[in-house]
Amino acid sequence: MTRRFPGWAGAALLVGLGAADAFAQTAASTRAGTLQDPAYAERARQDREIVYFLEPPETHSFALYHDVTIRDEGRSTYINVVRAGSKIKNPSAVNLDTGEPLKVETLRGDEITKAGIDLGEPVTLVSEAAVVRFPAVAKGTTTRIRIRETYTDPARYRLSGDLLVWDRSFGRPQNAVILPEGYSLVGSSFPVRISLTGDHRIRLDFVNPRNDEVRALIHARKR
Amino acid sequence: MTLMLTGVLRAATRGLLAFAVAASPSEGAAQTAPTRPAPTATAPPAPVVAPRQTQADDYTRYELLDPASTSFRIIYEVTATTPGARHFWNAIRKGSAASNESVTDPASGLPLKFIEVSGPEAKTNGFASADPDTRYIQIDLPRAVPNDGEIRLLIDKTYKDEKSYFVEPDTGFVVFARSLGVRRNSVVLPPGYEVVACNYPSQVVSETSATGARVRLSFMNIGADSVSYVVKARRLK
Repeated sequence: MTRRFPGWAGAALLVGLGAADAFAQTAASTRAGTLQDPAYAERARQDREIVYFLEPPETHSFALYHDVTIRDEGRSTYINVVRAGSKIKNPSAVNLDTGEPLKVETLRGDEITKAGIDLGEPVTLVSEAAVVRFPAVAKGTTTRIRIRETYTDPARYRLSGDLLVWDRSFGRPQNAVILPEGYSLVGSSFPVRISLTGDHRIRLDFVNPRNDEVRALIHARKR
Repeated sequence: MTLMLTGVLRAATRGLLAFAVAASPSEGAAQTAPTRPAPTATAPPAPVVAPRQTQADDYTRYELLDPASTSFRIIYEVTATTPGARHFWNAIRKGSAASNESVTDPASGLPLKFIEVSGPEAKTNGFASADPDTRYIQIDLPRAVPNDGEIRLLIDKTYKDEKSYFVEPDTGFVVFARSLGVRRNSVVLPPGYEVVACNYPSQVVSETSATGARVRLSFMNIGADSVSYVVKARRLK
């Protein structure tokens, strides 16, 4: 399996939660300055979305779900490469078109190589990827899936004194972060819309209209 | 007038981007002025037209005061760019009662003289596009705007406007809801309040003040229209 496809559909398929920058990687495989360059991918047409639910910062953990539409005929897997420094647990997935649960495997180190999966980067002992399997996409159709996971990332989600610190980058066009219960927002480096969830938590919505990653540095404090 | 017109034509010749003040009720909404073709030796004489007031680099900071006052302080940075101009007019939005006004020249740090005038008075005094139903702060510029220069201004005022700043009855949230025409803006919550809603993508920054920590929301409007900005906040327990 390869991670490199021309055009936005391939790029969208390839960007897992932990992928460093699939657009940049794909760009490197194409001729810069041409209309085939992923920098020209129509951002508004991309429908990759993610919502993070932060647990108390001392746990360094956050649950999330992310949605993606699989458009490549014949494709039957989605690979979510876990960002270095992060660990995942309890991955699950559902076919949003049918509501049916999908099979998810978490592969580590040699398991990735043995499964013939190309992460687009060297596989090491600590490499980790979630592989979602679904019926192959039939000609003229697409498949929309949702992946749920819980991440632990001590370096990028932590407590600094009494300050909650979230310092991660986002590659998707649409991202949302929901603060833990009892926390008020005191800083966001990236412009966000703010709202209250039904359970009175603060929600931040990030929209990045460009084909690049943005740093999302969030500070919050317990009330 | 001749001097001012000459300056405008020179500016157009240089291709300078100018922003013209509409007779807008906003704190400083601007719109792009049409460019004027450069005169040529063979062109017929152009009709004499009063120059439109032009400005640039607008930035507004709204400091929300005690919610019970329904008042907010406005600190407005703006640059007068109409060559030759000796006055600058800043609209007082309809529905807002202005007080505590002052104007400073950031280049010298000195206060500038100003008076409040009606729309017709502003028009008579040189602001050709003044809205007859709007009142203005008419500022005496410390010198004529140079042909190759500009004059920066810092306008400080307090508005009382219960339609823009109020307490939402059903939630108790403090609401700041105002159409903002300036491209760059920030809204500072009262001390002891947290943001719970903001409808336009904004940075969130904490700042300290003599009265305690405050949250500032800041945004740049990259579109052509005004932003109907709504921020909601609640008191921290």
